[in-house]
Amino acid sequence: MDDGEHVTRGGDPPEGSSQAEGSSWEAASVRAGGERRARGRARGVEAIAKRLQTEVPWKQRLVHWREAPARPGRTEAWPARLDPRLVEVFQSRGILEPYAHQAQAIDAALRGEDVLVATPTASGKTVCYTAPVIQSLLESGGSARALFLYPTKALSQDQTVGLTALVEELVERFPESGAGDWHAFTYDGDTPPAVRRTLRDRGHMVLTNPYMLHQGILPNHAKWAELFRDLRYVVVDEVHTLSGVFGSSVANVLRRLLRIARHYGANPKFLASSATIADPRAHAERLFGRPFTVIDEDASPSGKRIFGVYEPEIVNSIAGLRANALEEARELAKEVVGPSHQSIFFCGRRTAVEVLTRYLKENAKRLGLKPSEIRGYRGGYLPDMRREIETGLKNGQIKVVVSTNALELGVDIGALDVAVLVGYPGSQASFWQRAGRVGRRGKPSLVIQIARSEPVDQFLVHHPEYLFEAPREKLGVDPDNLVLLSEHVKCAAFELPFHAEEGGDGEYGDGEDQLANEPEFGLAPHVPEILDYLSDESGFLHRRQNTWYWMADSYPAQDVSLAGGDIDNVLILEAGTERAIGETDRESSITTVHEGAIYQVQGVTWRVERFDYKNRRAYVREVESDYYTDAQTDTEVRVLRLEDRLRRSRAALGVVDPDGQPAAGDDHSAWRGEVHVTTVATLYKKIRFYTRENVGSGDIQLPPEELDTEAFILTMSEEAADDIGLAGGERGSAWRALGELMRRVAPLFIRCQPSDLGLSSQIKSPHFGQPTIFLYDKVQGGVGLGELLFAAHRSMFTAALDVVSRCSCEIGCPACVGPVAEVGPLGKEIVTRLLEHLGAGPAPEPADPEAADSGEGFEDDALYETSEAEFGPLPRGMATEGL
Amino acid sequence: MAKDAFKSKLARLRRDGAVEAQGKAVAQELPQVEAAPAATERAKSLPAWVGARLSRRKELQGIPHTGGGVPMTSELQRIADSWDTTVGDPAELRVIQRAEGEFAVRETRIEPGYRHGEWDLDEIDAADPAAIARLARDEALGEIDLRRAVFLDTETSGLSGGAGVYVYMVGLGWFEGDTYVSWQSFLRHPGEERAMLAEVADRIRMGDSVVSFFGKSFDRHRLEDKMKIAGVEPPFEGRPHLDLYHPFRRLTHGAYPNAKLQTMERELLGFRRAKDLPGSLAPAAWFDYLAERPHRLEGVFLHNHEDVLSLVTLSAFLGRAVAEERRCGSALAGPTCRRAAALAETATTPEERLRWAQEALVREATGMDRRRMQLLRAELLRRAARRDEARAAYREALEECSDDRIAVDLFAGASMLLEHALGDLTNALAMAERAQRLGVRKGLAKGQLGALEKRVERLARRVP
Repeated sequence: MDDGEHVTRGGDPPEGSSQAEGSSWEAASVRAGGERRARGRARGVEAIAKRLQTEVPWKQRLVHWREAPARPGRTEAWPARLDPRLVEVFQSRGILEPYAHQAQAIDAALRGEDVLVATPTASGKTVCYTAPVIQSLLESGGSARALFLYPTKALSQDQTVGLTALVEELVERFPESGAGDWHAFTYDGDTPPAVRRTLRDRGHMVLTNPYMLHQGILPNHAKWAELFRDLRYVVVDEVHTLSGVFGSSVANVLRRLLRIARHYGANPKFLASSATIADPRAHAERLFGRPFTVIDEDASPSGKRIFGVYEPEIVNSIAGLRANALEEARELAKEVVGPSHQSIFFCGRRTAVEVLTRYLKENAKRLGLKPSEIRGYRGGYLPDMRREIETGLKNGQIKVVVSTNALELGVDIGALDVAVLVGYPGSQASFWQRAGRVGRRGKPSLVIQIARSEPVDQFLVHHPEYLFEAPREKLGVDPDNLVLLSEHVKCAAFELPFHAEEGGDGEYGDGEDQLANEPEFGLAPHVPEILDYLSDESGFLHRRQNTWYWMADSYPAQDVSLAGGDIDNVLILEAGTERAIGETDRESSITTVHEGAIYQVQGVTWRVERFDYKNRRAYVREVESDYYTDAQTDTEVRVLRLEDRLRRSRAALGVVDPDGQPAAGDDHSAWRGEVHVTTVATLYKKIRFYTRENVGSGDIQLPPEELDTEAFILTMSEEAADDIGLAGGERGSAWRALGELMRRVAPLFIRCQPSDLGLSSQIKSPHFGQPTIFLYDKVQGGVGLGELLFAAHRSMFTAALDVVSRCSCEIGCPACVGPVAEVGPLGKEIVTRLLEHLGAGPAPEPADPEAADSGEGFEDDALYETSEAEFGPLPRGMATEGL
Repeated sequence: MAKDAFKSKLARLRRDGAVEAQGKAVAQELPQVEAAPAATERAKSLPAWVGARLSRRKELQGIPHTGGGVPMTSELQRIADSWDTTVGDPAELRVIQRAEGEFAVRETRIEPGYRHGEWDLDEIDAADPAAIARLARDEALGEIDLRRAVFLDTETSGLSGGAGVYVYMVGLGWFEGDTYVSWQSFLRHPGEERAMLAEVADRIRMGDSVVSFFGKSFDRHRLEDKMKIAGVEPPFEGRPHLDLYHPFRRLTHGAYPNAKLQTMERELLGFRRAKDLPGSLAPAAWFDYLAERPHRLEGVFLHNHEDVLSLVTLSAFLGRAVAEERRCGSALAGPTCRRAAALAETATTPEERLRWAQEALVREATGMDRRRMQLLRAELLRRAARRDEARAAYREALEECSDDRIAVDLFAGASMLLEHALGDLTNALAMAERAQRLGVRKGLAKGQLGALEKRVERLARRVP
C-alpha cells in the first residue's frame, strides 16, 4: 500500500545536496510527513506518470511525453570575500555551500559589479542579492542602505519577512554585529502614513515597487535623504517582467533614481534577477544603461522532470470541437492530486481559477482531501488571505492550489510536485516559470500542459518542441522612446535641476555632449531639445545659464503612467457590513463586478448588488449560486484626426484601365493619426457549474472604458485587391492575419512588446470604405508607437514576408499567418501575395491625410467594430519565430 | 501640412498649458521675452507630436488657472487686476553674500509703538508662557520668550509638495531690543536657493524658538526638504515651535467660517489689510518675475510682511487667553464661551477643568460646545464624588437632549453614578441599556459598544 519511495518528506537530505530547497527561506521544511490516507493505489509522481502513460483513457489523451533526467547540484565554496558571520548564518539556515551560480553572483557583487542572475524559479536567486546587501550593512556598521524593487506588492511583503528573519538570525548569533538595529520595510500603497516616517529614517532595506518609486519616493527624495545618502545596492527582481512600454518607463525611473543617488553622493550597484530569457545581457544593459555581469548557468540540482502534453478528446468530430480544458483538468485531478504530495493548477483567467477551485473542493473527499486543503490563489485576494495560502503551501498543509499567473512570479511557496497548466500561458518564459513551481530537490516532478481548443494550444500539441527549445523571445525595451524619455525628463527636472557643463567659449549646452555631467539622461539623444522645449515652449522649466529649473506648480509624476497596469483598484465589499472581500483592477472590473455578476472567492459565490463605478466600489452579498457569469466586451476604434499619410496610387504601379488610361484611385495608404478606442461591456451570460449550459443572460450598464491614443493605419483599396486577384471571400481572414503579423514583427523595429499594441482590422471600414488595419498604442495618449510604426511600416512588410516565406509549414501555422483553422486553406498564399504586393514596387508618397479620396464613408463619427475579440493575441514566443 | 499640425498643437497646448495662463495673469500687452534663438530653434527641432504631449497638464486641461495650480476664478482675477504690476527686481533689496553664494533680502525695521490692528507689538511682553503652552498643548513652550523667538512665514512656488517646489521667499521677524525687524529673503533666481537656505537656517538658530501659523505641517517641512537637498543642516530639530494654528482653532472653533490667519487677525486683532494678494497668486508672481514679465511681487512682499506681523500679535493674544484681558485691562476679542470651553479642554487639574466647564455654561455656550461642557461638568462632579450635583448635572443634560452621541456617554455616566454612588442597580441597568441602545443607533465603534455591553451584562447579573 505504501510505496513511500517518492513521497518521503522531511527525512534525510539526498546525497550530494548541501543546500536546503530552492530559494525557500525555510530550511528543509517538513512537509506532509507521515500522512498516509489510504487510497489503495501507488502514489508518488513517477507512479502517477506511469499510470497516465499506460492506462485508458489517459494514454490516448497524453499525446506527448518528455523527460529530463535528474541533475545533481554543483556547489562551490563560499566566496572568500563574504563575511564569515554571514556564511555561518546561511549555513545555519541549511545552505552549507552555495550553488556555483550563487557563489559567482555573490563574488561579482562583492567585487563591485552590477550583476544579473538569470536562472529558473527556485534556483536560489534571493541569496545572490541578500548576501551582498547584508554584507554592506556589516561593513558599514549599519549605515548602508538598499532599495529593493519588486513587480508586485505580494513579492515585496514576502521578501520583507525573509530579510527580517535573516537579520534576526544574525542578531541571535552575533549580537555585537549591530544587526539588532537593522530594519527591512515594505513601502507601498498599503503602508500606513503613520509608519512612513519611521520607515524613511530607519529603513535599512526598503522594499517597494516601481510605481511607488516613481510617484512617491523620487519626487519626494528629500524625505528619503537618509536612504539615498548611503544607497549601496538597488535590487531589481524579476526583470523579465520589465519589457515593452512598462519596462521602458521603469528604465527611465531607474535613471531618475541614479541621478538622485548621485546628488546625495551615492553610486549604487544593481543586483538584478530574471527568469531564463533570451540574451539576458542585452536586456539588462538596455534596461539599466550600463555593463552587467551576467550569471545564467543554473547550478541548482533538479530531480527528474516529466512533461506531458494533454489533448482533450474530440467531442464533436464534425465541428472538430474538443472537450473543455477546465473539465479535463477536473477529471485529471482524480489521478494527479492526492494527500501525500502537493499539486498546482494554473488557469488563464480568474474566473477559471474560482470555478476549478469550487469543483475540486466539492470533489475533495474522492480526492482523499479535505476541502480546506484545496485553495484558490489569484490577484484580488486580500493580502492576509494570500499570506495564509502561501504559508499553507510552504508548511504542506495545503495540498492543492489553483492559481492564475499570480504564482508565476517568485512568491515563496516552496517547491511542489505536480503542475497542471490549463492552457498555454502565452510565452515560453511563462511556461517555464510555471513549470518551475514543481520539482523538489532530488525528487521527480510532473508537469502536464492541457491544450485548449485555441489554435496555439493545438499547434503545440503537434509541435511540442516549441516548449522545450531555448527561449527565443526577445524582450523589447526602449528607454530612449521620445515620449517616455521626455515625460521622465520632466519628472527628473522636478526632482533636481538639470545642469549642462559650460563650454570653453562661455556658451552653454549647444551640444549634447555638454550634458555629459548628467550621465543618466544626458547621453540619450534629444535630451537638450526636450529641456529647451520644456523651458521655451511649454513653460514648465526655467532656464538660467547652464541650468534648467522646474518652474510650475504641478507634480509631473502624477500625470505620467508607467503603463504597467492601473493601480486604482476596485474594492469589493460585503453589502451592509462594508467588509472587504477582495479587489480587482479597473480594467477587469467591468467584466467581473458589474451588477448581477457572480464574484467567487475560494468557491464561495457572491452576487454583485451594486457597482459604484465612479467610487470604485462593488457591493456584494453571499448567495448560493449554481451558476457563474461570463461577460463580453466590444471594442470600437474611431478616427479622431489623421495627421500623416503615405499614399501609393494604382497609376504609380503602372496599372491601366481597360481603355488603356492609367488607372484611377489608391493602391494602398499608410496613415498616422489619433484614434479613440472604446471598450464596453455589453452583456453577461449565466453559466451553470459542471454542465456549462447557458441559463440566462443580462445586460451590463456601465460607462465604456475609453482610450485616446495614436495609431498606425493601413488601408488598401478594393481595386488593388482585385488587381492582385483576390476574391472577396478570401480576403477577410487573410487581412486579419496580416494585421496580426504586423503586430508581431513590430518589436523588431520599435522595441516594444506585441502586447503594447492594440489591433483592430476591418474588411470594410466605414471611415475609409476599404479594408483597414489599425495598430494602436495601448497607453492613454500614446507613447509614439504609432509614429514609429508609420515610419517603419515598409520594413515591417519585408520582415513579415520573411517570416511567412521562411516558415517551414505548408499552409499556415501559428508561427506565421496562423493555423489553417483560422486563416483557411489559402491563408498563407494570400497573405504572401498581399505582402509581396505591399512591400514591392514604388514606395508610397506623402499625401494630404484629410483629403477625401477614397470615395464613400468619411463620416467622422462612424464607429467600427474590431476583430480583436475574434482572434486573441498569439503567444509572444512565436512573434519572432523564423526571423 | 506638418507645420500647420505643429502650430495647431501648440495652440492647443497654449490653451491648457502654463505659458498662456501665466500670460493671462499679467498684463498681456507686454511682449513675451524672446528665448535665446539657438535654444528655441533646438526646441523646435523636436517632433511636433512630442511637444504636444510634453505640454499636457492633465489636472489643468481646459481650465484657466493662476499659474499656481489653482483655478483662476473671476474673483481671483478681479483681485489680481486690482494690483499694479512692476517690472524687474523688487525695490529695496540688499544682497547678502555667503560662501554658498548670494541672494537678496528686504529688511524693514519697526520702532516701538507700532500698532498692528488694535494691538501693540510690544504687548508680547505681557504674554504668559504658561497660557501659550497650555493652549498649544506643548510643554516645551512653557518658558517661551517671545522677545527671543523667530517668527516665520514662507511663500512657495506651489502647494503640491515635492522636490520641485521652491521656497522663494522666507519672511522672518524678530526683535532686536525694542526694535522689530522684518527680514524677507528672496530668490532672484532658483540658483540662489542654497545660500538663502543656509542664511535662513543660521537666522532661525539665533532665536530660542520658532513661531508660525500652520508651520509645523507646512513651512517647516518645505524648508527641511529643501535644506536636505541643498546640503544645509535644518535648524528645527529640538527647537520649541509654536504653531499658532491649533490653539487659535481651539479658541474660535465654530465662531468663524474658518481658522485661517487672515480670519484670526481680522476678528481677534482688529487688523484689516488695506489690500492683499492672495497666497494662491504667489507662485504666478514669481514665475512672471523669472520670465521677466511684469509681476506682482510687491503684493507678495506686503502679504508676507503682514502675515509675520500677525504672528507676533497673535502670540501676544494667545499669551493673554487665560487672563482673558489685555495688558491694558480691556477684554479680549473673540467668542467667550468657546474660549472658556477651550480652557476647560486644556486645563491640567480637575478643579480648573470644572471651573471652566461651568464658566462655559454660564456664558451660555451653544450647540456641541454646550453638550460637551455638560458632559464634562457631570463627569467631573461624579468623579469628585459630589453626587447630588452630579445627579442634577446628568439630569439637566439628559433632559435637554437624550438622543445624540453625547447622550450615550451621559447615560453611561449616569449608570455609573447610580451604581457606585447611589447604589441603585435597577436604574443603573436601565441607564446602561439606554446607553447601549442609543450607541447602536449612533453607530459607535465596536470597542465602545463592547464596553457598554459588558456593563449591561454585569448589571443584569447583579439586579435581583
